[in-house]
Amino acid sequence: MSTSQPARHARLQSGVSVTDLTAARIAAAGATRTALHPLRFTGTELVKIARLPLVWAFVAVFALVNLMLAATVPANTVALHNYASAVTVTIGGRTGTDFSRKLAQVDTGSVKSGNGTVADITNDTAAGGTTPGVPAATNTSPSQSTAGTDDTAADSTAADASPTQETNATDAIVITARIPADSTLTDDELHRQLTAVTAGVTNTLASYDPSPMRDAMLTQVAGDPVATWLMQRKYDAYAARVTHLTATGAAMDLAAGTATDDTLLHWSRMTGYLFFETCALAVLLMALALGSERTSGTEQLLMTTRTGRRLTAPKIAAGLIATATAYLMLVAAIVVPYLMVFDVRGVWSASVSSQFNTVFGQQPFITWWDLTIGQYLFVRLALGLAVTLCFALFTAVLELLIRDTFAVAGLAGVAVLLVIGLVGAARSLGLPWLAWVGGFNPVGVLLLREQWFTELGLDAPTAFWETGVTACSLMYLTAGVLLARRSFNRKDLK
Amino acid sequence: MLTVDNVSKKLSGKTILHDINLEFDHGVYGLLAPNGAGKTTLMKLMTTLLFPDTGAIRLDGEDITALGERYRGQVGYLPQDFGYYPNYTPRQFLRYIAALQGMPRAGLDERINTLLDMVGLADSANKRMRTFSGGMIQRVGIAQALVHDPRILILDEPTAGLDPKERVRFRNIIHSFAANRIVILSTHIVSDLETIAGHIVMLRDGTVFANAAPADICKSMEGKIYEVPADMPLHFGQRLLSEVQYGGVTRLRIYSPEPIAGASSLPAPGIVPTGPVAVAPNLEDAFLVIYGG
Repeated sequence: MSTSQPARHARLQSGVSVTDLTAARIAAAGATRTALHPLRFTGTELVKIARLPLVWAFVAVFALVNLMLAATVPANTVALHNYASAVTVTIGGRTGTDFSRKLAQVDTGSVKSGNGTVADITNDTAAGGTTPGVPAATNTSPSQSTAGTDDTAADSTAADASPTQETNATDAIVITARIPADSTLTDDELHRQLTAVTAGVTNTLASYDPSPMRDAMLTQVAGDPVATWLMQRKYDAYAARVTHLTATGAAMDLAAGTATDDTLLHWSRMTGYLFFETCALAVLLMALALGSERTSGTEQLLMTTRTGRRLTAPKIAAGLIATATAYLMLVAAIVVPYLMVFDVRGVWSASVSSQFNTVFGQQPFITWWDLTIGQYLFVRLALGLAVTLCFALFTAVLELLIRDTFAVAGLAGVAVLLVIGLVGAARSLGLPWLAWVGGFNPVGVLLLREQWFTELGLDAPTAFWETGVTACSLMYLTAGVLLARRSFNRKDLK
Repeated sequence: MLTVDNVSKKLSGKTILHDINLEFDHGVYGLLAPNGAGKTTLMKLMTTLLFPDTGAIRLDGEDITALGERYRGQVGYLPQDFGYYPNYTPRQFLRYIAALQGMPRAGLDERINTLLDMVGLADSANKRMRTFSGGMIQRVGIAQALVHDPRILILDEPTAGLDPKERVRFRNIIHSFAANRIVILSTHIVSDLETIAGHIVMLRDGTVFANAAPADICKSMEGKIYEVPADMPLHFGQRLLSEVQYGGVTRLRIYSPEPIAGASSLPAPGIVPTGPVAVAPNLEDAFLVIYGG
């Protein structure tokens, strides 16, 4: 450093000379500024959300609730479900004469079916004799490995072991069923119940007449030509679905036999809680994503940088990603214990329109396209995710416009209650258009969650109503976010 | 040049600024006014946090709102209430701000090291800011305003929380940067402005009351500032500004629109004056006279 230079080159008290700083400045200035793509900050925004203890507290509480829910199923229901599933895997899931014949060949005898044990079958089908010489096995809990049991060689079968193949009427049919240790149903009882419920089943859809339901719905909208036209189209499509499913024999699928309704109701209840949790989390996560800078006092700093207000884009993206991630985590908290308890191999491949799955025990469960039970549960979860993302988008709109996290949470809650009240009142008063318009949003879709992808009665004027409303909601809420961002860009940030 | 053309602003129905006209060229500009006079509002208008109700703010003739990113990339801002991320270290924080400013990574670490050394935080560069004192946080704030080498520095109460040594360091930093840059700062510490500001803008009732060099502002008070004995009664029009201590003797510094008869000039250092003495006005005197003591 030259000491002959003017005072501006004097060494600062810190010991760093201004010349040093000038050199650094020139070095930095020489490099051109990078093009700014705000979405590159999405990862940083995600980390900010992930660092908030409140987020993890909510996720943990909800996951715990889900785990407890998934585990609270009567043991006998599990036993019925898993026995039916094992039978399906072994001898097929389409009820009828052939199925009944093969089921009759399963002779539990003195052997209790249990985890990893074997229900062996004698060739002596005419005498209906029991299986000789196979020792009784210990009935173990589903979580235990079969390796430790002291039974026959067939003990090598684990709970999810592949069943042996049926050969012909003279060969033994091996069934491995995962039965909870606390089930009070014996193997004989399980077999007896399954035999009783599958004996003489017919294709119930062949005799199902959707006309009375159609006529009842048309009566509800009589006098309204547009509503009448919509309902006619819907029930014409419904009738075509009944015809199609009759031809495919979907009603003949075993599913979980008598446990079908109970287990699917259980799943419906679990996912109902799940949707409430994830929608609440969506509001929280998006509110935090967009409002955290205000609470930390960094908003003025960040909004005056070159990126500035465009930072809302990565914040919204981070909020959506965080919402989807939380959703998947909470789904896992349901699905993982469910799969540990329930043997779904045979059940989930059955048609969801099986006669053993009904709408409130009264009418067949007819979906708008062919779905197995597993596929139905998957698309149900997929639609739930889309609805949850709608809540996140709605929160983003409110946050950008109102810029007060508490007010946003309150408004979101009020909006939900308003929709519930409006739709409920419209239904009670027999005002279908009010219900349809008032329910044309994610809350309205959630109110119909018990029967998604079915005809939905007077609650839906068209087929795929819940899907269409969700898709439209995603679109108009996305448009709302874009408009809200434009408004935010012109808003005073006090 | 940054110009404020006929800018007015209302907030919550109250007029904060009315028909403000200012020009800022290279150098240090001090915004001097009491709380609530509109300093922060004016700064927020210049940083695009707020939008003028009427008028416009222009950089080299172009409206800063229309310039958008091109303007903000040239501005370094330190807000009055500076927030931070407690889990971040200063180095992480400066990297983040630099990324938001579109700074290339090449040479960035060297620049951050230089800045942290300049504000006296080199030893704390990798410590989480939740452990920092208010003064240390403020220094991080100063560093982040400089990280992208802005053409315009807008600092709202930058010396708040700084001890005297740190304030001296800060003044030196500002001196070095202001040669060919615009620095606009607001502070209640009048002495800071006296030493570093080449230009003072005083706001009153939402308008520009004065806009001149400190010496010129003080010149308008010449012959009107006196030190008088504590027991001397004040006459009509005279106002008490402050008290002055000479060892155990208290004297009063007053403003008198009319000359005081018998007033002498300041005696030699070490001698305590007895009667009224005419003294040279300073910026604090001007502040107290204009805004009321």
